[in-house]
Amino acid sequence: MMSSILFYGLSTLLFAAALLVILSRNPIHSALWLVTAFFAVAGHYVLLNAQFLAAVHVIVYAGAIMVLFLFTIMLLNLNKETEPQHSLLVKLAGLVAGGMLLVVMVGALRRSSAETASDLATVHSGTVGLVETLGKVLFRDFLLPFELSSILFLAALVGAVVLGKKELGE
Amino acid sequence: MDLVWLLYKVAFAAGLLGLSLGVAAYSTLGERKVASWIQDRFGPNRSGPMGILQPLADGGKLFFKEELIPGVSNKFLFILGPGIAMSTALVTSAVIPWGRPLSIGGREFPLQLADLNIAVLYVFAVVSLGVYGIMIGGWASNNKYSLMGALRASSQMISYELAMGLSIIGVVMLTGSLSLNDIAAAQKGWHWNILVQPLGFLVFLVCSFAECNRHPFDLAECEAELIGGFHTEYSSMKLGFYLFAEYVNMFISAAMMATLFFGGYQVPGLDSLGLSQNVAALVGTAALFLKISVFIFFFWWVRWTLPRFRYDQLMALGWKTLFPLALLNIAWTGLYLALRGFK
Amino acid sequence: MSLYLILSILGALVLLSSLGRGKRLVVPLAIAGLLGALAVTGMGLGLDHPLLKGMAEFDRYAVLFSCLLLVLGTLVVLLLTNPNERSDIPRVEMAALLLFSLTGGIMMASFAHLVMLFLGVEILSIPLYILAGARKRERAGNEAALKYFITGSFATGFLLFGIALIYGATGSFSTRAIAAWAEANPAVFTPMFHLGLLLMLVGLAFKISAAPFHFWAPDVYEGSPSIVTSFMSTVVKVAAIAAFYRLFSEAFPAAADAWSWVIAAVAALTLAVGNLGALAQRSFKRLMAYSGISHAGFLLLALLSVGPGSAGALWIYAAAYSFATLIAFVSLLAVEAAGGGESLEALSGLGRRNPFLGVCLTISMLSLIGVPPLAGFFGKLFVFGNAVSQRHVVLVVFAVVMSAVGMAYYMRPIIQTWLRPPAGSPFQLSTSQAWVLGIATAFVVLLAAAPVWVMRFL
Repeated sequence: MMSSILFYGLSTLLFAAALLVILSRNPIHSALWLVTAFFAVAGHYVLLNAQFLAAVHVIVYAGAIMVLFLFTIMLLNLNKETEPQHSLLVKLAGLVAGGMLLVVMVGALRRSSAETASDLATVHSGTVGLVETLGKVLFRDFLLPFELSSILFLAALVGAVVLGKKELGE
Repeated sequence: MDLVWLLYKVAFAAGLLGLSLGVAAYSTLGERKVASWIQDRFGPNRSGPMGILQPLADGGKLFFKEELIPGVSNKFLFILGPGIAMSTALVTSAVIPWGRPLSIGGREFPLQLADLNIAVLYVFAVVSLGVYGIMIGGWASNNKYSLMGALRASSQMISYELAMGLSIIGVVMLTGSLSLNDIAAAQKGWHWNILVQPLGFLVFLVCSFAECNRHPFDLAECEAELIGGFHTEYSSMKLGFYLFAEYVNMFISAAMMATLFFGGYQVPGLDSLGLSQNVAALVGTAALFLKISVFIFFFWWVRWTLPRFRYDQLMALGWKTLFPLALLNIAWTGLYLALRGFK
Repeated sequence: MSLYLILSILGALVLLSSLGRGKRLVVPLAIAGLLGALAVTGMGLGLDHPLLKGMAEFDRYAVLFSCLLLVLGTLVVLLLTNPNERSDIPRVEMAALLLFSLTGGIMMASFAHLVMLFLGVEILSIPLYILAGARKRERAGNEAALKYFITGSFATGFLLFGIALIYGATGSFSTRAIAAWAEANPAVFTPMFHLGLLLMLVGLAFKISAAPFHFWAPDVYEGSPSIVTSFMSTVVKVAAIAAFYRLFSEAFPAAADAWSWVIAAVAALTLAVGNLGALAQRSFKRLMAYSGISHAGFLLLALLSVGPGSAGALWIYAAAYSFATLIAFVSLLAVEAAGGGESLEALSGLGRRNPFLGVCLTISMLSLIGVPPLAGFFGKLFVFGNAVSQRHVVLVVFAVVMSAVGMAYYMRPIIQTWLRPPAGSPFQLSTSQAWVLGIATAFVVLLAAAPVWVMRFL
């Protein structure tokens, strides 16, 4: 009972925030609504008993990535006037494409609710999201992808330095 | 989840809130007293005996000052900024264990609001959100100095958060838990983490100065360059919230340092005295507050001793010195654990 | 396992070599490492290791495609020795990023778990987002990097969403478990599973630049430095199609009814867009971009006819395409170094300015058309043969018509090379360019001897 109230509350918040991300005219407001949406997602993680994931989600997305986003938006001084205006045709095309995707997604998820509900119940009560479980899975079964992802970060790091570095005499 | 338990938790939360605010209020007085002592002058001594009512006078003044909101700024965000700063500063104290459980009427009452199994991460999540208070406030002020101050503050906090997070991984490795309660409990007797983690503590200490935007890293409000930094446009209690949040953060940082590295509520040799459970718990809590006071004093002392860093020096220190040192600390802890044998 | 280790350590070593005086040793170091990796792969030393935990599997398919990727990677890295390349990224970082990207490509050829596929795609792409923008101060370079980054991330989003839905439906990331699930539920149309399948298909179609997800390719190819473009059009395309085929033949064979007509439609559209689009191009680089799109269509034909021999056909086609394309880009690099631009006219009289280059370029174009007895012919022969045996006759007829259209635009560089007056004075190739040209041309010619062996091996 309690958890379903929380679930619907968080979901409403998530939907509202996500809508406001795209409906706000001011990019800063969009970014802040996105932060709110991240919080709602973190709340869902907590409901699924995955506190570690929730905390990391907040630290990484809300605490680091979105701050850098805000940085960029603030320094570029984007506002309503600089927002590009799309033609009606583009808007219509976007609406149709997005609407079709929505219909397909709803169709995909609607039918599958019954058979997967029992699987989800085990997630709720189990220890799947705890730090110990996660650590064991990560360092035992997923060791190879975990270690290989370091290449990804190294590449991104090198790239950021190379692209951002000022050259001599600049 | 019975009524007594619920009431206890609510009362404890309220007490914690009052305590944080009280400690923060009196640290402003303490800071000025220490400053005057270091600079060989009197300091505040008009309000009450020894100036003891000074924080109340300051608070009253801030409450009754005229409230100015710049005409062109976003009003909602302008008000939200200090609110976020204050609330993120206050909620961290929920996971700190303030002492051993008290036993009243055969029931155990823990001196901790919530024993999260990811308490350390919770603290970092909340700290990382503190940035928003400053960024939103600085941006909504619609003032170049405010924006510059906000950008400085947030890039500083993000940079130092990394080294700070890495510096306590050593502690987490030693304890094998992310719960602050477990970390404090594991430091029983003389097993304080500082003895095996001196480097981690050093990095954490320096980073916590930067995280609190305290001197010598208070570039965000560096008055010589930026007037008042992100809070240039703020007045009355909204300014008060920003200033207050800094002191609350200082208190929490001191509590974290004491808990993570200096045994928290543990007092070596306390058990051999044969005190009753409740008395021992209260002695432990008193010891924790003594440790916290020492760290808060250290914050004041540094402020009136060191000159301010330059911004590039600050970034270089964070990224080129503290970050590698924190990594070194992790490597050293791993080696230590491998040699000692894992539990 | 050994291959991943060698490549990642090699990338790190290359980065470290920029300290001190190691800069001159970068390319020799990288080449030596890549050849070592090639030897290890060829001999199968320590490729499978218990630590893989079913995340990756070095079967014959993976080994053969890894070898191809390593050879192509080595040749591109060899080209780095030329000083004339217009790029603001230092050579050390460039070599390291190429090596990282190559590691991702090998993960994509050897994955047995969708997490590895996703990581592979990311590791392959992220270094290239950066390299595409290597000309930092030029608008075209910035445009290329931004377009590549945004469309690429979008594609990754599709892929990831698809993986999530597949996991939701089957409860596993492992290709084997997914295949078993699909086998156990053959008749049921499961919306979640099939939507996931479709989204993954879209994500991968972006990566091989199949129509209608091809629109980024010409601009990105044009704006990137030619050496990066040569990497994109060879290593990236081979890795992406290898992953595409591996995924669909290992995880989703039981659901073939659901996806084969989608692939057929995408293939037909890609063939039309690629070949007809190429006709209108005046820039050699854009022409090669559209050529890449059209060959993605041919490669999809191999995917359509999964069965005995189709993996071999795919390998031969991919090898023939990528070596011939590499020759074309080396020619472009050489012409650019000699002061020419990227237009087709810059190639005029190339046969007289540098006969060796002219001959190599001609062989490459002829192979791309599919003239016997060059490698491209055998590629097309096997791919078409397989498709016909799987009763995709109409599509094959269409593909043959499109190959005939291809002849029209592949002849244009050849005509420029031999029948037009020289656009400048004769010039010399640098040693590394000559080596790369020689090796790639040798492959294009000699692969004609390989088909039987490859078919038997796979």
